[in-house]
Amino acid sequence: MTTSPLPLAGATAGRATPLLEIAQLTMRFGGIVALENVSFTVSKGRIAGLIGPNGAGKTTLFNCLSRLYRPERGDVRLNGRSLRQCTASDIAAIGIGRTFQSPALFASMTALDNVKVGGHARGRSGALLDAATLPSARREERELDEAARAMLAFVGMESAAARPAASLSFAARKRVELARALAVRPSLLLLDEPAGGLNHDEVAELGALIRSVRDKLAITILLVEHHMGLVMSLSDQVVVLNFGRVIADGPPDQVRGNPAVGEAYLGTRH
Amino acid sequence: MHQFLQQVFSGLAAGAVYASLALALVMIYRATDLVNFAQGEMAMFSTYIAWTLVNAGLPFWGAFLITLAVSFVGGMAVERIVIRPVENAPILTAVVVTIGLLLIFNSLAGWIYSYTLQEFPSPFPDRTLFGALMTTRDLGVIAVTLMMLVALFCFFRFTATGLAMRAAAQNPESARLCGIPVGWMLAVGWGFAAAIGAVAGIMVAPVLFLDPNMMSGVLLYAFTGALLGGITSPIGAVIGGLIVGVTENLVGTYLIASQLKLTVALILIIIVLVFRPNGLFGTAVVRRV
Repeated sequence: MTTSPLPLAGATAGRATPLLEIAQLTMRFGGIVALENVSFTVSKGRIAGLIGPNGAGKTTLFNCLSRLYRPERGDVRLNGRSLRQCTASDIAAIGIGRTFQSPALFASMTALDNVKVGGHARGRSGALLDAATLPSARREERELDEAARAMLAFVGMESAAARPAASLSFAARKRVELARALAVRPSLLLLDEPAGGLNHDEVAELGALIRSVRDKLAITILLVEHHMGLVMSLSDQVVVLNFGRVIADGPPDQVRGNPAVGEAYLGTRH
Repeated sequence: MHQFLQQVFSGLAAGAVYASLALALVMIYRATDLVNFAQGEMAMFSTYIAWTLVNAGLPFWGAFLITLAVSFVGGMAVERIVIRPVENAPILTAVVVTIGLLLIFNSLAGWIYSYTLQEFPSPFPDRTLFGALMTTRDLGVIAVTLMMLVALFCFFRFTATGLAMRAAAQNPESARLCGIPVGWMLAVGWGFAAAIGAVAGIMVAPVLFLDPNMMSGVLLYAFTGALLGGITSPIGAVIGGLIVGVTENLVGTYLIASQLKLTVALILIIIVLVFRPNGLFGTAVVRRV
């Protein structure tokens, strides 16, 4: 894990392969260009913020990364491995976990079961084994249970383990969804607007939680977020998208001062 | 009073069969939002397989287990080969495909086994219990159904594959991102539904006699049971099936000629749809538009 605050993207050439490489990614819906030649990299152990006005292509990019969409052109590499041949159900095994803008939990299942599903990609003995309730399958089931409880505790939701996901508050559901994504044991975590719909205190707690995901679990994070305070305080690197193109990529201070970014958000001054 | 209780018990036995088939319908509906109109004919075909095995000299329960295994694989094959290509097609396309399956299984059975009624052996002795209150056959059917339900419950509640199947049915996209092969989970669901249907067919065949049209009435009752319980609820399907069985039996005994019994199902369907469209245990489907 990189510990020194190194200079960022753009200066990555010559260093070890970054964890995530996005190269010339292009995605169109009919005549609408959602992403055009998007390229940037995220180094291991970093928190990267992805910002941009509504409709800039942030969620589209996330959907390309998790293979829910197939980009027309370009490639995504994780640890140097191309995702081009992957389907959405390979993503967990490859090491990408993700959350959604509004939590996409299994509504009638308990919080614990939701997180256990996340651990499923890690399960190794197949259906036949657990149908036969062999000891190895039973041990695996117990390990799955323990790992899921540990993840719930990590996000501070252990008390809600037995409650159906649908009965939890919005903020609680977001935490359970985060625990489910962590149960996949990803090397890269994609967070889609984790602070959306949270109040002031909850946002502060979330910031601390995201930091501890990186520091304690050694997971690299790419987050889409509109809450500028959170993005700027958390991120080591900020990537700005506008109309499907990268218009800035660098440390938060540098991006904040970038005139193109101001224009994208506030419009051009005449 | 004695006659009333007798009718209730034999209604429960019939209801157990409807409940099984209703459960098969609900499993597929939950996983793929599709009512499988061929469920009854698939069950009938499974019953013919059991019949062939028994006639070939296998012991009844051996034939029973082999039939369940064959039906399971057959159900998976139907999903992979016939249903999967229309997975993303409009719902009417899929409905027509299942109706096509119904006709294919019906004709295939008629072609292979002919349309003559066949006697099907019952695995249970023919005796009466508790002062002729119920027969051992009815009790046997209820017991087999209950055992199957408990086994299914344990599978879905306590195994990793059961968990993955529930997840795939509830939110395919999230399930995929957790690494679950959703397509295969659907196929396994069809396999289970076919095996459950096979149990229903084998349990009802000694009463109805085996012929290619044996399950058409049963499917209608099962559909009523599933609707009454709420088409999205497995527990509801079971309770709904039992209620339909008892109601049908009591109404047939006391109110109308038994030839008219099938209308009870139709009337129940209309009552449910008018007054409680989500059934007893179903949840309202809210769609964002």
